[in-house]
Amino acid sequence: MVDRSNLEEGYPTLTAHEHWGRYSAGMITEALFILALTLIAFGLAVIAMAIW
Amino acid sequence: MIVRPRREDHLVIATYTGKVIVGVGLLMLIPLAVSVAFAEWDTVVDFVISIAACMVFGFGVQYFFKTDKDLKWSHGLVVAAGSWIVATALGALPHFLSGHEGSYLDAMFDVMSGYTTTGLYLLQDLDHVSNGLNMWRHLLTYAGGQGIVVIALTFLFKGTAGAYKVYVGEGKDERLLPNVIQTARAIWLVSLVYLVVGTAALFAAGWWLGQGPARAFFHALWVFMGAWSTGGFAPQSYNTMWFHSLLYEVIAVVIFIAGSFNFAMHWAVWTGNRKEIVRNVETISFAITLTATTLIGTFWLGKIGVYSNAMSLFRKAFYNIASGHTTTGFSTIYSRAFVTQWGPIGLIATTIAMAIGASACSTGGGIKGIRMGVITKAFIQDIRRMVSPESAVVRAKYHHVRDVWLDDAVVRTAMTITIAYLSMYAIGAIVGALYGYDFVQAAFESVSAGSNTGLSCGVTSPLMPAVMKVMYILQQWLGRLEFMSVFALFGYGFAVLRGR
Repeated sequence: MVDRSNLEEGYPTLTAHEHWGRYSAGMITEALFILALTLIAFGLAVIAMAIW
Repeated sequence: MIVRPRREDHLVIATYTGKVIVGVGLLMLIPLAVSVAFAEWDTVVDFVISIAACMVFGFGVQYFFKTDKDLKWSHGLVVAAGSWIVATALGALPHFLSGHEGSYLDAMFDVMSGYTTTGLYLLQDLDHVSNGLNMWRHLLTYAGGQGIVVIALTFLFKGTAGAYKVYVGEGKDERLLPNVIQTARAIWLVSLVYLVVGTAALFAAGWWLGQGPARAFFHALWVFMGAWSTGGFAPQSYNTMWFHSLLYEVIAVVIFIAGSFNFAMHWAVWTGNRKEIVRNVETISFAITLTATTLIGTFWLGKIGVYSNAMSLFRKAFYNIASGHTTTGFSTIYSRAFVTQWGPIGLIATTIAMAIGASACSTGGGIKGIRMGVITKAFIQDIRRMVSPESAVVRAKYHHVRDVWLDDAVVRTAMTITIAYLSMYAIGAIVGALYGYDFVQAAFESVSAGSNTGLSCGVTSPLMPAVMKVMYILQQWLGRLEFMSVFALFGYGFAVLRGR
């Protein structure tokens, strides 16, 4: 089993309630970034079909 | 002079390898529970035998090679590389006992593909595989994405000094937090939160599409695991094309691209530094190369008129190229369609995307965005140096969580690993061509195996020569561990044989 004496003090706070707002905002930021890339790809497909 | 490893070295390596294998055996309890829940008694017996084999091996080596010594750097690398091989050999038992594999080599191929998050497979009649075995396939790839050593680090290792050395050997060398066990747990936190949210989104989509609740749940869970780990396994032989759903595809794209991001970048964004996503050298590199390869693929497919409208073109081109670039391996076209419909330019665009691959310290494979960014920056720096006055000091930096000065050592390391990847891709392609496959197709498949992607243009099959199966196993292993720990294992073996 894990030797807990090696864990630094910060560890128990990883899942503390006060972090969840920032975690959620981070997750939404990532999803929006990916959806932006997806929209660019859709734009490329529209342009490609318009050209050919 | 090569120094022969001492008895103590063997003991340390065996002990830690044993711990990892116990972890693999414990992981099998999950598919065992699924088999029991679905009353798949043949599969239950397969997993009981396999768990027993893992426990006997794992506890056996820890008992017979008992030592209290901690790991050195070389030990850590050897344990990381060696335990993946032993875990593959023992993890293949449920596959082989299921009767869905043509040989034990095929079973090992599939398990290595799972651990390394590749996604190529030789398993036959996938549509009739038991739920327990399907759970095991996807759990393998989810665990492999985290790193099987990260799992052992989290639950089984004492101390952190030795543990960090094994962690690095598995191709993850970034500390999200000062303590390596905290780092492993932060990785788990990000992955588990995505697991809950991603599975819920896919479950809702599957249910809305008409799947029953149990089927929608398990498909959602398995597709999530295949996507997040950039593994590419899916529960149906038609892969994600089986769902025929734009909604399902968009959710999968968000999950597999997020899965391909560096955990350090995730952690920075999640802990409040949200601008990191548009400043990080890896996400910038990824956005540029993904858009470039999508542009080539989309315009080519538009020109040859394979798809009748912009939506179909977007869905097929972007999904499959993004899947290749993130080294996921999900596809919404038949394997042979890469050859018969996409043609050479489509194949080459996808091959380039796969070769570049995902981010470092992620679940993905390939050369990695950070190396592409570093090499490009170094190239620009050299050009600036050439056009600047001789006395000018030209320095460049790149941003990855913090600003890092670009020095020769960083560039040399990036170039060395990149050359190693390109050499591996080339060797695989040449071997495939020597066995009579078309060179472009052999290159596609070699890059797919070496970059741990899993897209196939039809070369990978149970009828493939055994030499190519072994070669792809080695490529998957080398690519996932980024060479160094595998070279350390070979060096260790050489030292045992020839050292003094």
